[in-house]
Amino acid sequence: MNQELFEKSMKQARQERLSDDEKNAIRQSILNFISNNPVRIEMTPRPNSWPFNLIQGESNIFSYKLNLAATMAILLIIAVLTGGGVTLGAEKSLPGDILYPVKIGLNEEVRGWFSISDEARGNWEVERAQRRLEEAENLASSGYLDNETRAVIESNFEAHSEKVRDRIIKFENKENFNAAVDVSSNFEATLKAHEKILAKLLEKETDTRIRGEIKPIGIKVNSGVRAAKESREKNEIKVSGKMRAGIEVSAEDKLGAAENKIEEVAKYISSVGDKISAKTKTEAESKLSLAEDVVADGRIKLEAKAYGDAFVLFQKAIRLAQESKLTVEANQRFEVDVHINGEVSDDDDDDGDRNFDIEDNLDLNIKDSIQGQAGLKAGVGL
Amino acid sequence: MCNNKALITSSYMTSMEQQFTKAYEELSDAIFRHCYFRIGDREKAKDLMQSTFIKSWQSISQGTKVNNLRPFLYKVANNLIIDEYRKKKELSLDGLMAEGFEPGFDEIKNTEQGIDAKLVIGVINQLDEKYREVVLMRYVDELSPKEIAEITGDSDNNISVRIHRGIKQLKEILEK
Repeated sequence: MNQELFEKSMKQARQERLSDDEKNAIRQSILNFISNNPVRIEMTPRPNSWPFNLIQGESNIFSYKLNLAATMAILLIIAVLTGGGVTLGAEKSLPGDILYPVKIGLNEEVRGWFSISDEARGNWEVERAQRRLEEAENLASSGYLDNETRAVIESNFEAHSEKVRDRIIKFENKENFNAAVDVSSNFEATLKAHEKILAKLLEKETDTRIRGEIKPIGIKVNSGVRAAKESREKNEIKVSGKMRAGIEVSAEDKLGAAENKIEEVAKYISSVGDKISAKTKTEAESKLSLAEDVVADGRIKLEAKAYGDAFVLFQKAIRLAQESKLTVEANQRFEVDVHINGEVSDDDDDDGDRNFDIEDNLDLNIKDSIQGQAGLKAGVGL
Repeated sequence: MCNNKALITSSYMTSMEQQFTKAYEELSDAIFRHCYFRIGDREKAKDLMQSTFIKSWQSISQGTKVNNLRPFLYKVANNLIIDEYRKKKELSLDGLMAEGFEPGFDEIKNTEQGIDAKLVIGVINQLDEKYREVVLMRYVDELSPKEIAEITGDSDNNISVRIHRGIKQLKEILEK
């Protein structure tokens, strides 16, 4: 068979789509139908009566799990008091809050359910891991991080990290190395930013009790950064295999993604204006400028038909842009100036920031051997 | 109690509606394509795509448990396509042939830049239905054999075999 003809036909078929007018008209009909046919929720629920795997989800990872009837009863009370913004209110809840089970067991499960592709599902688990770290940071900065809330966060963070790892392994088994690089790179950038934020919070914190709670989380994140980096590098080598079919298209797609990401972050930095410190702004802009340079390098590789190398560079640019964004976010949330290095290596501590490295582990072991060892053993591996 | 129920439902529903609308933005073209290449009628494919989303919402709103939306939508679309076949058998190729179109390898090969969608439909519709379905899902919808298996209810292995045989048959059609 003429393979080229077959591929051309399939490509043509994939390009068939609706016009904007057609799509809008149908969307309106569907929205009308939805508004006339709202979701029905059973008020005496049994586990199987829910539309999704929510509180009784497939994994028993949530330490704050309530049984559904109890949760619904609480929701009812809160609905009366708050006027119905239960799920919205839950979004800002932290471990220990009554709405926290709604946040992780309902809101996040529903969002995950609507993640269409495997890659989106992987990145959604990365975001969930990030949300757990943000919770830890918020609790630490407000003085409420204790042994119990830290245990909840750690447990859930590990569960999300495990799901990210499983997703990457699935990509590898399917030889979808592009997706494996994308998810592990995103995870690496995210964890790296939060490792730095936690280190800054630790530096500022004077309460030894809270310092003792921040450290085990930081150690896990540090371990996760290194594992994610290792996974990303391993899969980048496979992507770079020059003879792999489709690499040209993948590299071009990645270029588009990198350009979009840089544009998005530039707009974001511009939108926050003077709400961040001058130091952070300079840092973020400099990182973004570096991302643009890396894209330029990638273009040269693309023109030279070194598609694998170009792909890796574009992915690096996305990571740099993401780090730039997280730097700004950290400053907005905690008024800390976070410097995130472009690459993580064993000697990646030359910027003066304190990392959660082996020294921290030893330190922790001396102060609290049980807690420290738990942190070491439970490091997130990819 | 009734008012309380309404309050919770309202909050929950808003989130669901937003997510479902987002799913429409991301998947409507794919579902439309799937219907179009199976049925061969653009207007009918639009109707089927709309029905797919409406029936899916109806099902979800009434409590159907869904783990992954994409295969679920395809499953609903497939059922609608089967109903359509029952109502009107083998419309597409016969229709095209009646219009004087006889697809073949040479004709497609001679088409320079764009291959017209109708040409592709013409060739694909010569495949046996059991192969047409999986070949389209694999190469046009870009679903994995596992996802296809989830939609059709067959095993992964069975789907892989059908895809292989479908491609073989397509080869024979193109080489005629």
